[in-house]
Amino acid sequence: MTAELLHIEGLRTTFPAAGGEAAAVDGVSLRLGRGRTLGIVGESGSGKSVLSLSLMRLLPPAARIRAGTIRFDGTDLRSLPEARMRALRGKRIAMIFQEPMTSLNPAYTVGDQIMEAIAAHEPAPRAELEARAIAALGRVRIPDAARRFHDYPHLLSGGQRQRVMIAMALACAPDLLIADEPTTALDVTVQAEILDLLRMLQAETGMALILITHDLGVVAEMADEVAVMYAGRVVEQAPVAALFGDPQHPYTLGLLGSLPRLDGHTERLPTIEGTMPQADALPPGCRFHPRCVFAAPACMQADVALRAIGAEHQVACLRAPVEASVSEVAAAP
Amino acid sequence: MTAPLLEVEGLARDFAVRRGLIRAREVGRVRAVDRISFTVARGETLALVGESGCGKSTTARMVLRLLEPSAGTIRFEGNDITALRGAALRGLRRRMQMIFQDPFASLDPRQRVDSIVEEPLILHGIGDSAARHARVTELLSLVGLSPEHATRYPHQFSGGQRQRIGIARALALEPALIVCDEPVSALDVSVQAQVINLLQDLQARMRLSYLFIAHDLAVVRHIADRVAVMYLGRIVELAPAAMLFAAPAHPYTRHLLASVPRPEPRRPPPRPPAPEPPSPLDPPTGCAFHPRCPFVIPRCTQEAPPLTEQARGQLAACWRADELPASAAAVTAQEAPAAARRLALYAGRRANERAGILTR
Repeated sequence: MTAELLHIEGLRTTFPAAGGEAAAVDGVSLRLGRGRTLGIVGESGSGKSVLSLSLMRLLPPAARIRAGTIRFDGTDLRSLPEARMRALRGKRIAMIFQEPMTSLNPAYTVGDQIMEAIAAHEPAPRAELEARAIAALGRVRIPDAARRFHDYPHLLSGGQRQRVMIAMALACAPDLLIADEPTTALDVTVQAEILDLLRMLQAETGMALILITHDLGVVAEMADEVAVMYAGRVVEQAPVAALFGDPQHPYTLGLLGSLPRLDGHTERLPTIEGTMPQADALPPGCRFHPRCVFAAPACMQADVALRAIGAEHQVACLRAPVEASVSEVAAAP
Repeated sequence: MTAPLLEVEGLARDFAVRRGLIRAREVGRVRAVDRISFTVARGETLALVGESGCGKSTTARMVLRLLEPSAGTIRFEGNDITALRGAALRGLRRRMQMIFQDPFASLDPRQRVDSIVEEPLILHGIGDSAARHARVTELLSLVGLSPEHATRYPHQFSGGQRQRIGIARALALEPALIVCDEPVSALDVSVQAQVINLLQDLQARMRLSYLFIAHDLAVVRHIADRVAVMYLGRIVELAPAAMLFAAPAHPYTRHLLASVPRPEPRRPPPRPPAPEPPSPLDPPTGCAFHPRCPFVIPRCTQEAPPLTEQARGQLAACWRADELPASAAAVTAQEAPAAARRLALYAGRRANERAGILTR
């Protein structure tokens, strides 16, 4: 077992809503070891991005963390004064986003922006900052780094811009990188290169990675552990092999069923009907029951908590494993 | 054998490259699409795939006559439509429609759903008010929306529902061909699957043809009958979907397939770092893919290979297509037994639910 880097317990983040507050993240607990990769999977409205912003304490002003603890390397981030949080953000926890063009300032050169990121935490003479920035560009395998240093972002391809963002994020050697849909806007070949790069950098630096994505393929390739989120909750959590080899929650099954396969073996995609409920209009009982093909009367009665169903495998479903609780027998493959 | 619905021959498009702020002067020309040919049969889906900048969207816009070709001909329902103008071009618009990637940007936020769907009927002078109203209701139900959705505005809908509105509008004039430009790439996984199923249902019901532009190869495998792979303005491989994915002939197709992350937990084999894609402003000599190709021989740097028929009948533009080793990128099915059993159970339940059988 690797040393624990991050331990989130019972996190609840709310937004103002008609008649009170709605929880976009509602009682989420997660652990992440040093150097490990946690994939967080979910669709729009699942709370996966609010979760990562809660962690970074970068929530919009109206949002509040109402309950829970976030321990990062032994420090409780929830109670940390803002000045110390600022010192930690970008240095020990860094973040990259989906759209590198909107995260880079078009008016400054790539080199200026990387130097600024370093100087914010580790002020140094210009010559040293420059050398470190060029080294950072080299580390993300940007060819001809010394020349690229002087380029403006618009001169770079989408893949190179994402490399620059990664160089900037990793310039201060963080212990944790949070990547929110880092390859969603990229071509598939460029996506593969960025994923390869992240894996390589992780091996080199030993940083931990939280990968937030809707793409189950990306998770399968990258993650050690996976948490599937639905309507603000983690509904299934497992080591990556168990999640794909032994998926338990009907929502996970629905997501897997919704994926067109490269081998083309499905005629019609057995998708999930309906849409994810809003945080201020949650159904009673299991939040997935209105869309669930296995729902039973008990699923509508009471909240369903995560429970262990295998080694390090947890699921929030009364009927899991589903084959044990339904009458028909599925055709053996 | 009837004539294909759409026949494209030698289609090309150049763009001028200008420099300078005040009096921009032309400093060069880019060939965005370079003499490509393909057909789409009635009821067929032809996918165009490739990376950004490969010319797939430019091709679609020329087919729709939204952009003038620099060379080549487009035949639709047996007629040359390359130079159609005025009323004849408007008439053609009834027969081909488009569905866009971004359902948020392609619907007028100030228009109610019923007037969005009715608009093409008014523009083409079809029916009286009562007939159009009935048609709008019919179209909405066809795409899985209910009559009470008609009086709402686009912002009151989710992304998937907006895409359904866009599809209803495209179907209003009963087109024969729909050009789908990345129709599901902005949608969540489960919503994407719903829209894919809808497009397939509509095709079966109305014998629609789709020219389907997408970068998601799994979606393409699922929905397309045939696939054309484009690279830097040219078609480098054209084959039935099953064949293209099982035995990709062109090195670029292999490269694309090897790049797709698969929903199976495995560490992908280390991929050699690929050089940046070349600039269309300064395309490589010979085969445009040669700087990135692991199988390159001297001839590839000199002469551009033509698109020729290969052993299995697929078309590929590669000098070495018949001597390449079997592709490691070829796709085979593999699923853990527990996963397969549960997914089958799930699929069965969903099918029953659709058929109205309750098994709870």
